[in-house]
Amino acid sequence: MGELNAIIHQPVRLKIMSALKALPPGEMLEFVRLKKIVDATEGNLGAHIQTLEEAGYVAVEKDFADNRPRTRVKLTKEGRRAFEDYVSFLRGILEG
Amino acid sequence: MDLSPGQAAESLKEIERTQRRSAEAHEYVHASPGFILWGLIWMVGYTGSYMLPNYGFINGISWLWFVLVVAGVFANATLDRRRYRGQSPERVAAGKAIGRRIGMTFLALYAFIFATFSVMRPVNPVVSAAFIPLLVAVIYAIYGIWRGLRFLIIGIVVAALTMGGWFYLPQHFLLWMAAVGGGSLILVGLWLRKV
Repeated sequence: MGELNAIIHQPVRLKIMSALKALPPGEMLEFVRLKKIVDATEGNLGAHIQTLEEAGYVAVEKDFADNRPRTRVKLTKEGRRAFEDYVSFLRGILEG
Repeated sequence: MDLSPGQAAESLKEIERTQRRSAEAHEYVHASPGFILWGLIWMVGYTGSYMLPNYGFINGISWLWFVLVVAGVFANATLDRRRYRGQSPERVAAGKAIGRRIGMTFLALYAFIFATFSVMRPVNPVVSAAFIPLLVAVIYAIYGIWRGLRFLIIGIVVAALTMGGWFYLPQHFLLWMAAVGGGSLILVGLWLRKV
């Protein structure tokens, strides 16, 4: 059995990764929608996304949509793999 | 860091909860513009059918609805293109595949309705005007059973409004469907956007 991924295991980051993993591969999620799904404050969410971005698990894109600034987040391939490994690790604990 | 089986189970539950929430929100938000579009089409179509002589039928074909449905399918395709604008190339390709499936779904529905009316021959156009929303309602209800409670609620509401109008306002059924049927689809679109 591998080791627990401490970056993903943090509760807010776990929700961020779970929310992004539920989307089709390559689909980006707007920051404001992610905030609602994860139920976190803007600052808290931003800090955790930065941690995940530094780990290479998520990619952040900033642009303008309808003349308004928009921040979108998506899972990277590395992030997808790390999340799947994390879930396997949890299942491994349950199966003994 | 060691994790107990209980903690692992709790984390897996949290993952499942969040994934379900995210997937449902994703479905709702992207379905929202389509509901508003088809709500407007229902409003125009049913109002036109109510006001035009012979319900707008010429030589057995409702040209008004034909034009509206074709325009609706193209408008739907435009909405889909907008949805995938700025997404990754793999997502755009996946979106095109979904668009093709949506187009084929419309074709299958059209063929089903055509075949049904050929066999059952509605006694007048108002019967077919009631049948189609009921068909739409059951599609939403079935989709909702699998993909999200709100779609099930939408199916039930559309069916109830259609049946209510049919039995309690038969003289003004088409106007009822324009105002309440079309209006409710628009409200549903706005409701889903708020998710």
